[in-house]
Amino acid sequence: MAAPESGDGNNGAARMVTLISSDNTRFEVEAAAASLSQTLQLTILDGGGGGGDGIPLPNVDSATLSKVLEYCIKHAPAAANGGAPNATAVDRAELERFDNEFVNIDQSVLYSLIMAAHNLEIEGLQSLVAKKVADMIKGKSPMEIRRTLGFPDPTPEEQAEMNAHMLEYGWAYE
Amino acid sequence: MSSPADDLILEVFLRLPPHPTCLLHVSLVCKHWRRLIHGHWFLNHLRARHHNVAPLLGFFHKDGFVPTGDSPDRLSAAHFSQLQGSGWMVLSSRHGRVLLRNTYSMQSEALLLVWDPMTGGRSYLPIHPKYRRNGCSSRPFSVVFLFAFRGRVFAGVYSSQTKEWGDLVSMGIPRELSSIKEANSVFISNALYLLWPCNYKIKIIRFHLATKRLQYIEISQSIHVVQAMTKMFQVIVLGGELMSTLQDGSGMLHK
Repeated sequence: MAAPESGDGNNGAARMVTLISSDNTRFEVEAAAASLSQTLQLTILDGGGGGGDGIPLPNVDSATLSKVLEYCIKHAPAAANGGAPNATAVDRAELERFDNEFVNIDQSVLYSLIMAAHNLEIEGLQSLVAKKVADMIKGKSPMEIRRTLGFPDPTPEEQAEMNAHMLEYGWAYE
Repeated sequence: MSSPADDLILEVFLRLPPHPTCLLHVSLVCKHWRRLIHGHWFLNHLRARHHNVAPLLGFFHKDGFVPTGDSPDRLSAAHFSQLQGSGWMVLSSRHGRVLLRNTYSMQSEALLLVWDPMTGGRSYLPIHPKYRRNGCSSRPFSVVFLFAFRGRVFAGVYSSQTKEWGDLVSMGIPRELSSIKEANSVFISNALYLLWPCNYKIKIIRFHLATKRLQYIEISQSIHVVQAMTKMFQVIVLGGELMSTLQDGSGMLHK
C-alpha cells in the first residue's frame, strides 16, 4: 500500500516558498533554493513560507534579495547533492564561471550582498563576496586601498600616523 | 562605504594572502582596521585557515636575501640583506629569525648572532663560554651547536633565557663522518635533523631538543636529494614518517 498523498504540494512539482523584501516585494522561489540560507531553512522545515503567508525579510531590500536568490537558484542543485561530490568538472567550471560573473558588480551592491548573506547565513555567498573584496584590496598600498573603497582622503593627522607606521616597518618597503 | 559589521570585515581579511606585507598595508588603512588586524581573533583564525603553515617569504642566498612575491606584497631585499657582506654570514633561518656567524677577519673571536629582521632585535652569543655579550631579545630561542670530534658527534644547546650553553651530549659515529662542513639542517617537531652528505650517501643526525638525545639515521636508496646549485637549500623527499614534516624546514625564512 502506498502512503496517502499528504497534499502538501510535494507530488512532482517542487515546493515553493514566498519571501517578502523590506520594500514589500514578494518573491516566489523553490524551497530548496531558499534553504541555502541557514536562517530560512529552519522556518521552511517548520512549514513556513508556503501559501499566502510568505516570510518577511525586513533587512533585505528587493534589489539585493533578487540578486541573492539568483545565487541560491544557481547553487541549489549542487547543494542538494551534498556539495556535489559527483558533479562533473563541467558543472563545477560552470558554477565557477557564474560566481566570477556574479560578483562583477558595483561595490555598493557587493556590500549589500555581503550583509544579506551574513544575515541570512548563506555561507557560500558570504565567502564569495568576501573573497571578491579581499581581491580588490590585496596588492595595494594603504592609500590605494582607501581610494579603491571610496574612503575619504586621510586627515593630516591620519596621514602623519600612516607615515610614522611605515617608517617603523622598514622590512616591508623596498 | 557604509561600514559593515566587524565580523564581515574580518571575513574579508581572512581571505587576504597571509603575507605580512599585505596585512601590514591593510592595517595601515585606518585605525579601526589596524585594531582588527592586530586582534587575537584575527590572528588565531588566520593561522587556523592556513593550517598553521607559515608562508614562505623568501630565502637567504650567499649574495643576499631573495624575497618571494610581487611588489608591493614583497619583503625588502635590502632590509634582509643588510648584515650580509658587513662581516656576517647567514648560517640558517627559521621561525622568523636568522642565525649568523661573524667572519673572522673582522673580529678575532667568533660570534653568533640571532637576528629578528622584523623587529630588528639582535642577540649576540659567544661560541666560547667565556665570551659574553647580549643584545635585546623578546621571544626566547635556542641555538644548537654540533661538532664532530674523534669518532663522536657532540651537541650543546644555548638558551636565550638562561643565556648559557647547556651540557654537551655525545654519540659515537661511523669513522667516515669525521667532520661537519656547513651541513644543512631542518627543524621538525622539536628535533633538528642534520643532513650529512658522505660518500654519495646521506646520513642524518637527529637531535631532539626536549630530551637532548642524539640519534643516527642511515638512509637507504629510497631518498632523493635535490641540491639546488650551491648549498642554498635542500629538499628531501622520502617515504615513512619524515615525509610530511620535512617539507617545511628547508632553511628558509618563515614568519
